[in-house]
Amino acid sequence: MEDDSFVAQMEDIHLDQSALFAQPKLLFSRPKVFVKTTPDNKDGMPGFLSLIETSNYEYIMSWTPEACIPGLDEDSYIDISSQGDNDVTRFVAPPRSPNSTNRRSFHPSDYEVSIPLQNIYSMLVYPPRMRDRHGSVIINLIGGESLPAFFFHEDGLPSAVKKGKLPAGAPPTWGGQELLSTMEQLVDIVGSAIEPGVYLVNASHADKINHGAESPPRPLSPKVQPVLPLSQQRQHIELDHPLRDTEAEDESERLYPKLEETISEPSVLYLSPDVNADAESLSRSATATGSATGPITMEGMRRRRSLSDSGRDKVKDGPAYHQTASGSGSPMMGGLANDSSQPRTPLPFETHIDPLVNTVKEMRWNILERFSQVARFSRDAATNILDHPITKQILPPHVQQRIQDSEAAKRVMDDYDSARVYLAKWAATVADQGDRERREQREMDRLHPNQHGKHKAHGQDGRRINDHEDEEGPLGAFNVLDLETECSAIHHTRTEPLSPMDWFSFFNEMGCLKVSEAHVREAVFRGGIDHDIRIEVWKFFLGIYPWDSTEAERVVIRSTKAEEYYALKREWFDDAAVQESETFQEQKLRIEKDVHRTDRTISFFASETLPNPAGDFTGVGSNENLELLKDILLTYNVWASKAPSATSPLLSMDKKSAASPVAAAEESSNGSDNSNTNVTTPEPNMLDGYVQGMSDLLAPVFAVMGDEVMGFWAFVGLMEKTKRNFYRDQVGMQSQLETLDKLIQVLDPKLYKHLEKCEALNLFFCFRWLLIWFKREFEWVDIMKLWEVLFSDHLTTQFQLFVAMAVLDKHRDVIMDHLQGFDEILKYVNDLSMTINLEETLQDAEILYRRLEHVVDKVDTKRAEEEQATGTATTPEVPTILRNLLKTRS
Amino acid sequence: MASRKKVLLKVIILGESGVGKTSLMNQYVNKKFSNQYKATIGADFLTKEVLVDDRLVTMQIWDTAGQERFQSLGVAFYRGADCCVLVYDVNNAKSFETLESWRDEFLIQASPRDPNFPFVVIGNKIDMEESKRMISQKRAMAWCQSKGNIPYFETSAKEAINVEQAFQTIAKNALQQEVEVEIDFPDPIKIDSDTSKDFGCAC
Repeated sequence: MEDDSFVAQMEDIHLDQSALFAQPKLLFSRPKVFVKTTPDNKDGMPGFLSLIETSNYEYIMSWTPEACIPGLDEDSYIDISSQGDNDVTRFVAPPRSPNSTNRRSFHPSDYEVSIPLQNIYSMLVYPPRMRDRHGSVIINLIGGESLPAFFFHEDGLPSAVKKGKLPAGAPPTWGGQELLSTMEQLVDIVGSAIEPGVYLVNASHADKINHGAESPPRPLSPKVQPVLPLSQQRQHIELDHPLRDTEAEDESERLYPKLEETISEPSVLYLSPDVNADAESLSRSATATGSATGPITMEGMRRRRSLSDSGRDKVKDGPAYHQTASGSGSPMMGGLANDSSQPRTPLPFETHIDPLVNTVKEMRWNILERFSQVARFSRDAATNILDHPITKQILPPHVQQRIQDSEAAKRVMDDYDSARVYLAKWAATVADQGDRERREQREMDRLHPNQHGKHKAHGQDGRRINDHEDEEGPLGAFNVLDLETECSAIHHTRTEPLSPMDWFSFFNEMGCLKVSEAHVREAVFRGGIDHDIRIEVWKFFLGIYPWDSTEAERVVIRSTKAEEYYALKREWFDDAAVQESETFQEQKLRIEKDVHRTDRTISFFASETLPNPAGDFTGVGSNENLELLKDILLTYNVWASKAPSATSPLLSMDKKSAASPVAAAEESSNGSDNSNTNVTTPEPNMLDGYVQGMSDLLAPVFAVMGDEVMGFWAFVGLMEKTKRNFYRDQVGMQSQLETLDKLIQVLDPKLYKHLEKCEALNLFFCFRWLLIWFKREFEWVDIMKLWEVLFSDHLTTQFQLFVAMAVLDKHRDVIMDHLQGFDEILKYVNDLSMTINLEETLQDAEILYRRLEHVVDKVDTKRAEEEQATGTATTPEVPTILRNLLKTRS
Repeated sequence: MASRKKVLLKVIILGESGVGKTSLMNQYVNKKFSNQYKATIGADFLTKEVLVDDRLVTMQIWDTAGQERFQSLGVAFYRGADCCVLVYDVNNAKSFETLESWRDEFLIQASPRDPNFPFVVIGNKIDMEESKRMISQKRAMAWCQSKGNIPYFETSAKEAINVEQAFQTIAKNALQQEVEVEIDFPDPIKIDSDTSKDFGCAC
C-alpha cells in the first residue's frame, strides 16, 4: 500500500533523526530552575535547564520539568550541574520533544522546552535582587515568542553546585550568570547599552546599533558583571591550552577592567559566526583571529559585524528598520524576523513618546504579530492564549513594574484579557491615530467647505464604500447606495458650550425666553452648557421650569416644588407604619446598598462624615449627600406609585395628599421618552420600585442641582426619559436594542453580519450603555456634557442610539478583525469604559444621524420612482422603527 | 507540531445584589478588594488560569447583575456554563432565601444537559461580627444537602478567607462537567521542524 510505505518511510526518517540525536553532550545543566505555570503560584514547576550539543553540532537549550526526567538520567543532570566545568561532557538521553499524545489537559511535560540556540534572539537577564531573590532569565526567540521566565533557585541545590569550585568566601555563582557564560562560548552575545539586562544573541548589525552595543555595556549589577562579546570557537571548547592574544587582552582590560573571572575563561576568540553559519564562514572565523581574554577589541567587533551583516541583516533590511521608535518591531522581543514580508511604515505617534512607552508599544506589536500567526485558531483556544504561561512572559514582570510608574504607559498596558480582546485593544490604539488624521481632514473640509470633495472617501471611508457594494445585506437596495461619497459633505455642527452671556441674552426683562425653545435646544445640542449655568438650564430641560415661564413664575415654581417634594417625602418619612412595612424595608435596603457604592470617587459623594445608618457596610461610612440620595430614591418610589395607571403601588398611601405628579409628568415628558412613536399615549406605569442603575442616573443630576428638592425633580425629569428602561418587562431596553439592531443593519451591514456570525446580535454589550445613558462609560464631567446633549432632543429623542452607533462605528474594524464571539465583544466593549472620546463621539453621532436621514431619503425617492415606472416599488421600505428615529420632537 | 489541549471552564456567579459577587471574583482573580465596586449592570467576566489536578485550565468567571429585573439577559450569559456559583450574604436572610429561585432560574435558562449540573454555594461576608449573622452554617449546609449535596463554603471576599478554596472546588467540579474541547494549540517552540511535520492538520 502506498500509505503504508509512506508511513514506513516516515518512520525511517524518524529513526534516522533519533540516531542523530542519540548521543548529545550536556554542556550545562542547572537544577531547581523554576517556571511559573500560573501567574499566582509562587514557585512554579522545578526543572533542569540545560545546554546540549547534539551530535550534528547543534546547540540546544532545553528545560525539562523534574517530573519528566527519567530516573536514569537524573543523576547525570545533577552530576554535571555540580561539576561546572565546560570540558566535562556527559552523554544523556536526547531532549524530549513535546509530543502530541492525547492528553486531556496540561501535563508537566507540556512545559518542556527545547530550542536551538540559533533561534534565540535575545535574553533578558535579571540577577537576584532584594525583591526577587532568585533572579530570572527570559529567552526571546526570533519571531517574537518568548519562553517562560526561568527562575534560578539557589536553595535546595546540591552543595557542590552552591559552593562549586569557587574560592572560599566567594559568592555562589548565580545560575543565570552561568548560563550566560556558557552560552557565550557557543554563540555571539552582546549586552545592550540601552536596555540593561538585555543580551542579544547572534545579533545583527542593525540590532547592535539599536542597542548601542558597540559601547561598553553597562554592568548588570554590582555583583554580576556584564557579559561582553566573548565568544569561543566551538571546536576549541575542549582545548585546555588555547592560544592567548596578549595584545587583545591588554586592550580589553583597559576597556573593561572589571571583567569577572568566571567570564574570562581562556578561550580562542573567533568571529562569531552564527551557529548555522555556513562552512565557509566557520573556517574563516577559525583563522581570523587569535584569542583573547575577555571581550574582543573594537576592531574585532567591527570585523565580526561585517560577517554577520552578510547573513541575518539581509532578512531584516527594511525601510522601517532604522530606529528603535519606528514601530517596526522590538529589539528586545525580537519581532523583526517576520518583518521582511510586511515592512511597517513608522507610525507617527511613536516618534515622540518616551522610550518606555515605546518599548511597551513595540512589545505589543510583537504580540500582535504572534497573534496574527495564530489567527486561524478556533475561538476557545485563542480566547485563552494570553493566559498561556509563555504569553504571560511577553512583558516581563520587571517591565510591567516599571510601566506602572508611567501613566502614559499604563493606558496602553491594561490587563491581560483573552487574546482577541487584548489584541483588539491594541489594534484600537493604533487605529485611533489614523482616525485622528481623518478627523482632522474632515474638520478642514468642514471649516473650508469650498474645498470639500477634494479629500472625500479616503482611508477607512473608502473601504466602507466597498462594503456596501459587495454586501448582500437584508436591506438589499440600501447597499447599492454609495453612502460614503454621497455623505462626505455631511459634517457635524459641534461648537462651543452655551455661555452664561449667551444664555442670559435669550431672556427678556421679564425673564421670559425670547428666543424659541428650539433655538435653545439646538444650541445645547451643538455645544452643551457652561457648567456655571447648568443648574439653571437643566431645570428647563428636565421639566422643572416651563419654557415660557417668567422669572417671577419660576420663583413660585421653586417653592411649590419644594412643598410638593416634602409632602411626598413625609409620606414615608413621618409614617412609622410605612417604614416598618416589608416592601419599604426591602426597598430601603436595595437603595442603601447601591447608594453607598455610587460615584464615591466624586468629591460630592466621597466624604465619610456620618456613620452608616444601615450598618451593613463594614468600613463604609456615609455623608449628607449620600443620605439625601437615599431619601430622593425612596421618595421617587412614592411619586412613581402615584403616577397614572400605576400597576403596583409600593406604598399604600392616600392619593389625594400627593402633589401633582401627573402634571409634572406631562410637563417633563414632552414626548421625549423612548417610545418608538411620538404618540404620547399614557402607558401603564410598570415601575415597581428601585432598580439598579437608578442611583447612577440620580447622582449627576443631584450633584448639578446641589439640593434635595431640585435634585428630586430633576431626577423625575430624567426618569421620564429613561424610566421605560427600568420597567419590569424591560420593554424600554428591548425597543432600544431592537432599534439599534436596525440602525446597524442599515448603516453598516458588514458589521451587522459580523455580529450575527458572532451570535452577538442580542447587542447585550450595549445594554449598560443604554440602560443608564453611558454613565459607566464616561468620566463624570463628560457625563454631564453628554446628558445635556441627550436632554436637548434636538434631532431626535433617541440620540443615545446614535451615540451607541458612533462608538460601535469607531471600533467596527477592530471588532470585525479581531473579535469572534459574543464574550469577546462583550469584554472588549465593557473595557472601552473611560476610554471613549466624548467630543469625537458626539460629532460622529450627529453625522450618523444625517447619514440615516440621507438613506431614508434615497430609499423613499427610489421607491417613488419605481412606483411611477412599474406601479410597484421593489426597494424595501425603511423600517418604521428607523423612520421614527428621525422624527424630531416637534 | 505538538498539540496542546486547552480547557475553558465557564463559571457563572449568581445571587442577590450586594452579596459580594463582584468582590469574590475580584478577590479570586486579582487579589483585590474594594467595598465600592459599583453595582454590576449587565454582565462582565474575568479569566484566570488555574491548575486543577495537574491540569492547566482557564476559568472564565462571569459576574452578573444581582437584581432579578435583569434575569432576562441570563440566557445569553449562562449558555455553555460548566458550574454555577450561588452566593448569599450570611448576614442577610433574604439573600439566602432567594438561592432556590436563583438556582431554578439558572436551570431553566441555561438548561444544562446534565441533571447533576454542578453548583457551589458560597456564604459570603463572614468577616462581619457574629451578632449580625442571620444564617447559620448548619442551616445553609442543610439546604445544600437537600439539593443534592451542593458543596458549601463560607468566605470573606474582604479578608480573602476561603475564597481560593471555594474556587478550587468550583474549578474542579466545572472540569468534571466540561466536555473535552479538543483544540489545537500551537506548540510555541519548534524543536525540529523536520521531524514534526503535522499530517493531520488541513489548515
